[in-house]
Amino acid sequence: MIEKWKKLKKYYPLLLILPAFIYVLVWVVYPTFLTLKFSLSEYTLGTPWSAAKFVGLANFKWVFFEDWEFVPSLITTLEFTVVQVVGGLFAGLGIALLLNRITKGRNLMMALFIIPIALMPSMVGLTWRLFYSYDGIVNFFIEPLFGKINWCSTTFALPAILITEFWQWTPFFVLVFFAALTSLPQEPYEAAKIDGASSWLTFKDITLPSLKRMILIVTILRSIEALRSFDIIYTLFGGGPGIATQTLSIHIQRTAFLGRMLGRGSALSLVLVLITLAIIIPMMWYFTRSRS
Amino acid sequence: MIPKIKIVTVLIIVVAVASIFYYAWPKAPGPGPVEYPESVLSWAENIRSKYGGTELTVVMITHPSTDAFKKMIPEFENLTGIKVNISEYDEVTYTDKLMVMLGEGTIPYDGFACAMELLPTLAMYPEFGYPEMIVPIDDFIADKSLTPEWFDFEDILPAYRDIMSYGGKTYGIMMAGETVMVMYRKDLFEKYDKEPPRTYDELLDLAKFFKEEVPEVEAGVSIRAETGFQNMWSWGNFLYGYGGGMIDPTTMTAEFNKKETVDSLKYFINLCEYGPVGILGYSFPEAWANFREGKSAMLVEASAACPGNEDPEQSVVAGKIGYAKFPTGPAGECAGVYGTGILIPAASEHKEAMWSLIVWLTSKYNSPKYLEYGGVANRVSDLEKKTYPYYETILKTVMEAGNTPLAKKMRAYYAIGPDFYPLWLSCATFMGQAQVGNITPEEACDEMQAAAETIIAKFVG
Repeated sequence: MIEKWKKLKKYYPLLLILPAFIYVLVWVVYPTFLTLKFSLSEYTLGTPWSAAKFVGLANFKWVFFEDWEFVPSLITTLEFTVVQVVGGLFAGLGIALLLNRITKGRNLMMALFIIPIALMPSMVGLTWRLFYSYDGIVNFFIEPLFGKINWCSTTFALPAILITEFWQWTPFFVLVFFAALTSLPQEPYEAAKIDGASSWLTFKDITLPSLKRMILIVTILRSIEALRSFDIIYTLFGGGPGIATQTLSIHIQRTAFLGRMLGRGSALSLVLVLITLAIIIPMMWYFTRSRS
Repeated sequence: MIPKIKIVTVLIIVVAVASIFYYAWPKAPGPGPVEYPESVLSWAENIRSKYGGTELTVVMITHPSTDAFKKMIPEFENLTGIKVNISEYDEVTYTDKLMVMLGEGTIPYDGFACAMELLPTLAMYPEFGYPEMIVPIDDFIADKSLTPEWFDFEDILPAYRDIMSYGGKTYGIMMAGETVMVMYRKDLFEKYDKEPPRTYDELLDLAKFFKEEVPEVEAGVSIRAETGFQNMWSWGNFLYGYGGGMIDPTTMTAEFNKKETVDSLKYFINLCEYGPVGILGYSFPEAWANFREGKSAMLVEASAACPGNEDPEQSVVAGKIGYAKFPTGPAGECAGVYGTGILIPAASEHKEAMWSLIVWLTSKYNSPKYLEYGGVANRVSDLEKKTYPYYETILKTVMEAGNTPLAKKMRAYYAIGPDFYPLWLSCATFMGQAQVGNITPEEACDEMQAAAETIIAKFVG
């Protein structure tokens, strides 16, 4: 009996991870497999599944050589990602550094900062859509300086989306950097102070190197999120006007659910995954290399 | 150990809250004592004798008409002994659900709501070798034991009957029909001595006038123009009146690069210039809100917008709105007619019982009750009563501009089958590019023509 129990006991860790494994299998592996299957098929949503016709790599050929919207959407996606990540890093770190200096009211300010990231992105998009209307609150404040702006124009639609995403996601950087800053050891700072180092030198030679790994982590996380960002872009201008704000995620949604071309939409999804991996893997490699 | 007093207190609170929920929860109104004519009673008795005890499951979209139907169902259940279960979803979720059901190859309900754009595709499924999805109801309509005289099929607006048909067979009964009209600020038109537009040119001139010369409004006309379903829907309302076309399903030829089609696109882009700033981001809610806020002099929109226009809680211009038939284009009168109907799936095992429910819910006899409960008017006799200021215009538009050969050609476009949607998206995107000036209307139409010809080749092949 005891021998039997000892034999079973070695499977105990497997049992513990079984629920997570089943979850990943059902919600990640199987949908990925289905996406791959549809990406190799010609299938119109709304027709029987059996009508899906195997077409090999035809959908991928369409993506790279026939889809005139692919390159503009990719460029918009990359512009969006770079601005969000770089802007978020600078603003997030700057605000975190300022917060770190405050002693009174710091907790209240942190609580206020959490509000934007706690909101549903689609609700943020709908709310800011009202803000950006011609008689909206944004134009109310900027009219004395610049006059009213048509935010739903090809010139200003993308900046409008960038501002909104920036408003929602910068607190994420602030939270992470602030947590990292408060956990840094104080001795190097004391030593630097004794040596008469300036604030800039202290930041450059002590703070920044200490935060290097955290910067990499948030860059990776935010890049993944920005590359597949959908909610705010969709609810603000739906990818328009024209295709001025159409990112790859919007293009996928339009192709698969508006155009009902599930095969092509699936192929686009997989291409986006590959692009994301192509950007993230070098970062991860650098991260693991810097750890060792 | 939890003190007894705390347990008792919690129990009291739970019982109190449960009681509040039970007594205050809104209940469907009971049928109450009603006197029915002999014809209704004999029909009900016949249905009960054949189908009493049956249980129907119907899936519907969230809509005022569905709300009205739910209030009418208890009477039907009492009269016929047929139990009815309604599953209701918002339009977006409903569409997703419908797509999954169609993927499975069956609609496992006894009845379902279906938009007119999808009906021809579903009716055509056997032609593509797909399973039959919906059944024609002509035999039910002709069967006097199932369809009494007080149903009055002919009283339903002809165009609404038309869009619930395909290939000469009727598949559904309209539950929420609508057409497109011009809604205008009667007060401003009177002040500036203007008449409502009768032609496309007059609409454009009026839009320009009100935008440029009238300080009370910011825009001449509010209209949907967002890339996607919205801009194509709006343009489509003008396209056929210009003499243009998309795909003629009878000849399977694309007409996107016809001169008239290009001209209609140019006209629509021109019209949008007299719209509100940011119009390229306008879908139905934005276009409608802009007019109801008093910012535009006119609104080109589906008649579903009319009730909200006249509700003082939703509209600052309630009571100041005139309704005009959709204007005549260079090629003639043509007004879009749209709507959602109730259809019977082929998979239903209770088709006759389901038909009896449809008869009850959409009959002429029950129409006053249906309208009182907030349903959308679909019958000539209801619209002729002119209960609301827009009824007369809806009737005129659907009976006249919605019944012309051009209007019928416009509706026939949806009969190109499942490829309707990919083509629609493709056209919407090129149209959006023309709207922002990245390409000319001619180039946009050329691209649409090429996309259409690709689909036609596949269809014919």
